[in-house]
Amino acid sequence: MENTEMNETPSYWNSVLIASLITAAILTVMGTISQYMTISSEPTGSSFGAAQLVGILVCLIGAIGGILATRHYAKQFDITFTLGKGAVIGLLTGLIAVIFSTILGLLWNYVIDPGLAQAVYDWQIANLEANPNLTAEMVEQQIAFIPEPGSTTAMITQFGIGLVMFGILNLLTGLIGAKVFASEE
Amino acid sequence: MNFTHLFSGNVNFHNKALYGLITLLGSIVVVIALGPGLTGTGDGWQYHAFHMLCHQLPDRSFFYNDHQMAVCARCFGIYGLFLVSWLFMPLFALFNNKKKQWYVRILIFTILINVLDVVGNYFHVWTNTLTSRFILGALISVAIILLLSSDFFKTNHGKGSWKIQK
Repeated sequence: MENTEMNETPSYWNSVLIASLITAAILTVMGTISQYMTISSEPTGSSFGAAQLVGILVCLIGAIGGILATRHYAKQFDITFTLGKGAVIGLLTGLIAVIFSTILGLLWNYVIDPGLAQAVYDWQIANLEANPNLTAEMVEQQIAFIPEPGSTTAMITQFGIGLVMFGILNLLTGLIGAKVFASEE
Repeated sequence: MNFTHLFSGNVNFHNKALYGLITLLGSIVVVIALGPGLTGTGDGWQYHAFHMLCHQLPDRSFFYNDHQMAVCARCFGIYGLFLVSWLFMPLFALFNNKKKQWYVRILIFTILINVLDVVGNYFHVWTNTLTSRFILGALISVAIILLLSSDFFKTNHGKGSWKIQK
């Protein structure tokens, strides 16, 4: 194994950028597919359809950034590093993935298909209202936390929340990645 | 039999700052995941936090204090048991005497059975419940803690063995 401790430690930024780009691209594509699947189906009040299935996978993909980045860094330089470094790599990957994903999402929703966000919003409301298992209060509660399309406040809030949540999630997966791919054990 | 020897000097605590940070972050995540039921009031801002990570469907979520939790039962199993297992990590270290690959396989297995559970329920092969989703989600977290425990708590015997002093 290459002894990089005697030399300067190689930079992890290349691995962070590659992993965050891959994660953001997959997140955006799957999220967009999920939205199109949603609006192409009837709002019958069904709570778990194909779109939700894809949505769950989006969560899994969003968490994988830390794993990808730490694996790439460990394999590219054939080095070991600490859990702490893996956590930092994961955190940065999560943060940058959210930035890239937001940019790609904005590009799609404002340039390529400006009507998509509104269509999804309308569908979600119609679907909630069609659900016989929800009371009026529950429906109102659910509608309240669906972000309104085009709202700058909602966009900034979602972006900030995304940074925090995906940052934490990928910090943890970065930890796991460091253990699996870069520990001396 | 004297068990105190197991816990005084036999278990070494590593990466303390990182352990503390993860404990703090984990606590924050669980508090948010509990949703507005924790305080009984509020506009439900907690739902926004997990909106991108969880489907938050009411019929797949636990209710706490008559308020839906901010995450579904499976996600709460993951986050909730992660924190609990994290806090009890020193105990995991006492049994952590296998090679890393063994725990990686356990983690992959727990992820796969969750994927299988979701797909099986979606295609109506079986019907899962709130409890079953919670338990399966919790298994992922326990597997993660098993994998990581030796990096934070290591016994003096090196491979996580323990002995009873008479």
